[in-house]
Amino acid sequence: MDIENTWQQAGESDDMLNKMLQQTDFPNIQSQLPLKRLKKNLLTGIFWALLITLFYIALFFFIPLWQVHVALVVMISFNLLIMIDTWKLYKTTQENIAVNNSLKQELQKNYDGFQKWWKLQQKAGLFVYPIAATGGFIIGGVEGSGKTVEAFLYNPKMLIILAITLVVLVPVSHYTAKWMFNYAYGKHLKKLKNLMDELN
Amino acid sequence: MSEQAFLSQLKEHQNIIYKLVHLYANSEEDKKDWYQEILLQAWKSYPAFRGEAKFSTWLYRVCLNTIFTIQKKTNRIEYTDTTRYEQAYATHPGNDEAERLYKAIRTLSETERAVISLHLDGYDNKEISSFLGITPNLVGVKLHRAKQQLATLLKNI
Repeated sequence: MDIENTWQQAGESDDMLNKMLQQTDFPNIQSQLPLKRLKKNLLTGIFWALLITLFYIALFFFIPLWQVHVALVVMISFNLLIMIDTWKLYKTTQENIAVNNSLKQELQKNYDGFQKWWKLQQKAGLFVYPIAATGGFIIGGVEGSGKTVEAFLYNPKMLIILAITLVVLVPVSHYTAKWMFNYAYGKHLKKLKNLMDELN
Repeated sequence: MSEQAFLSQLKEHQNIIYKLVHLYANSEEDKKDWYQEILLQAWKSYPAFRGEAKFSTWLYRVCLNTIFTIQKKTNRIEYTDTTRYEQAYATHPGNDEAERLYKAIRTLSETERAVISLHLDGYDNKEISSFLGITPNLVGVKLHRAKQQLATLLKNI
C-alpha cells in the first residue's frame, strides 16, 4: 500500500461534521474543556468561602467568647487570603486552547492549572481543618456543658479529647479532600502526565 | 478576516478535522464532542489569526491541542478490538485501503498518531517538532518507529 496516497485519498468529511458546519452557531456550543470546569469550580469555591466568611462574621457577634473570636478572626483572615489566591488563579487560567502553544505546552498548562488548584486546597485545609475543629469543639462543649470556656477546658480530659479529635479529623479531612480530587480529576491528570512523558 | 472567510476556510479544510478526530475517537459521542469543541475553539481563536501561518497549519494546531486536552476515556484501541473499531467507523465513507490505514494508525500511541498524521500531510520533522514541542530528533525517532509498526500492521490487516 502507498501510505501517502491512501492518506490523501481518505475521506474528506462525514454527515455529522457537514451538518455542524452548516449550522454555524459555534458561539453557542457548550465547551467541555477541563480548564473551563476548573474555572467554574474556582468560582464556586469563592462563592462558598464568601458565604462561610459571612457566617463567621455573624458568629463573631453572636458568641461572646474571646477564644472563639480569636479563632474566627484567624479563619476570616485566612478565608480572605484563600479567596484572593483563588481569584488570582481564576484570572490567570486560560480556559481556551492557545493556538500558539505547542501540544506539550498546552498539556503542561492544563496539568499546572489543576495542580495549582490542588495546592490551594491543601493550603486552605492546613489552616481550616484544625481551627474549624477546635472552634466547633469549644462551641459545642461550652454550649453542651453550660460552663465557661476556661472551666470547660480546665478539665484535662477535654484537652485530651480535643487533641484526639484533631489527630483524627485533620488527616481524615485531608485524605477525604485528596480522594475527592483524585476521583474527579485523577484519571485526567494521569493521562496528561503520561502524554507529557511520551513527549519527553 | 470576516466570519464568511472563516467559514469558507473551515469548510475547505474540514478534512483536517475529520481525519484527526477519526484517528482518536472511539465512539459517535466522542466524535460529536470533539467536532463541537474544535469548531468552538477555532471560532474563539480565529480573531487572533493573522495569516502568518497557513490556515491549514493553524487548524491542525487547534485540532491537536483540543483533542489532547479534552477529558476523555482511554483512546487507544487495541488491534484485536475490532468491535469497537467497527462501531467507531460504521459511517466511515472511505475506501478499503483507507480503512486499513486508519485501523493501523489507531493502534499507535496517541503521540505517534499525531506525528504520523502530520508527516503524511506533508509537514517536515522541524515543523512537527514545533507542533508538538519536542526536538526534531525525537520526531525522527517516533516517526521511524511508527512507520515500522505501520508496515508490519498493514501486512497483517
